[in-house]
Amino acid sequence: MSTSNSGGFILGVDTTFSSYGNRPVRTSEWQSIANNLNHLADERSRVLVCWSPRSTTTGGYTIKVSGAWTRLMSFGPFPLLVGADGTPYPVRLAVGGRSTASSQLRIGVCVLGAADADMSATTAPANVLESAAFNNATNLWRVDGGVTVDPVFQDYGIVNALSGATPSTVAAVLVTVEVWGKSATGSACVATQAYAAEQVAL
Amino acid sequence: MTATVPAARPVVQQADVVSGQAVRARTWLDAGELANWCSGNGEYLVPAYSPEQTMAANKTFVFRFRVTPPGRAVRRVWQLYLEGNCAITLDGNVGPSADYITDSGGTWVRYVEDLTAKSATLQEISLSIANATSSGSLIVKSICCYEDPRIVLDKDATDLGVELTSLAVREPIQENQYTSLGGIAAALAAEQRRQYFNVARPDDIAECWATTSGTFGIMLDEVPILTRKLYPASTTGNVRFAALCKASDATTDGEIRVTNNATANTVTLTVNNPGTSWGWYTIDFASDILCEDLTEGTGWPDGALLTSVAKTLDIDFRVSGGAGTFYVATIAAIEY
Repeated sequence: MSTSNSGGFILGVDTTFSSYGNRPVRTSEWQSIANNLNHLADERSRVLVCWSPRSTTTGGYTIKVSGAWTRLMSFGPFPLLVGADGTPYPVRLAVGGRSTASSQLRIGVCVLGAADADMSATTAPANVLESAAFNNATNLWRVDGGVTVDPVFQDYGIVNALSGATPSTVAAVLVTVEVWGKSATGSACVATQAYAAEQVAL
Repeated sequence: MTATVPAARPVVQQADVVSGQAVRARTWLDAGELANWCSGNGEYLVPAYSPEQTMAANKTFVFRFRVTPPGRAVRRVWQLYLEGNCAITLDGNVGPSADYITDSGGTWVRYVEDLTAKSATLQEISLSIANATSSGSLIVKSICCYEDPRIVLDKDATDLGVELTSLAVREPIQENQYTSLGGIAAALAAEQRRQYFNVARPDDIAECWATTSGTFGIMLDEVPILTRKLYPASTTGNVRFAALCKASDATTDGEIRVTNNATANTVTLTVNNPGTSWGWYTIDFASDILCEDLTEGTGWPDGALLTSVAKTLDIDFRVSGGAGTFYVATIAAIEY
């Protein structure tokens, strides 16, 4: 949901600081500035993962064991944007692949250290999407949707000046985007594509 | 006296800015913090992807990417997920290389580049991965590169940080640079640009995309994309595609076609006589690719990626002239 009143940038806002000096500034000008700042932050969201197949029937990564959820891919870790309520921006997700026997795929956004438990849980938790079972030899998107991540903050080391100077830390929600697969038949499930992007919360 | 970047974004209460009433200092403090938050969080220059590349021992691959950073970052971070019992060396464009040991169970590798200058110019960044002579095969499962967040911005024309103490209660309203309401208005000019994807294969003709066919063949299939929503009535956005191309001889030409599955419209990047050296070529896809819908929880117009109208791109390529091979090492998409 947009936090700006108009749901987009209002044109005509002067961004020269001195333009606001020595004259009365109308309320509508400051409304527009507030609106544009809120919209700038709404659309500050970023694409975290964009992995697409290079073929309709080949490529990707295959499960190595049968009958259990196993990791096929891991992207990151990376820090998420944190919203006004202290929770990270939700993440829209999609995952796809092919199979030679009935298979399922999961994609999840997991805070560091939680991937194994979250991705192999019997029932997918709120930060994980699970596809319906599929048996199809074409690389296709299998499930998409949005998830939220618990606000688990960690100290994240940064620098605050050029050439590595002024080391510091920030409180960040660090996550990996995980792709896991499962099939009763070994080597049947192949992940070939994944997508993740931040999205301002409704 | 600092232009601090908050960990969580504030929201400016627009309803507090009304005619005939004094605006609380708190409202403008939120605005200053929000301006710093927008500028202080970095961009994802290379959204994570899988090159699906296996490296033999004693091999070096160079992945080359096209970026236009916002220009405020002081550190770039590369995150990789690798498989194989290997000794490897990573090297970027800035600073020293670094050595790592990886294993067959999967290893996350973090390589940082501390920048020596802030830059908002169009540029190429690259990552070199060298697998040692004594190593086994290395599977490069994922690559991404992002700019680290800042905790304090500089109050200068590059960072446009807003001095937050100037927005405290009882402080006078000023139009000075980097302070008070003048600083907030000026901060709106800070460049923001979204990188949609940046997919590189090694710049090695044995490993990159290659074709000798005059018929279009797949480079990337069903690439999800949503552009940044700019204006209240926007339903689409502008995307610039850049490709790193060359040919096997001086007379072979190539084409890269981008098809927007949501509209069935296409743009074709024509690469005439690229010659045998790698070069960047670009084409713009204006006002056609769907933008985010902020009334949807997922941002997808119609609520989902998997609806009857696919919100994806197909990218294919072919030889359009001459008798040689057309090569593509990288395809990137960025807002313009």
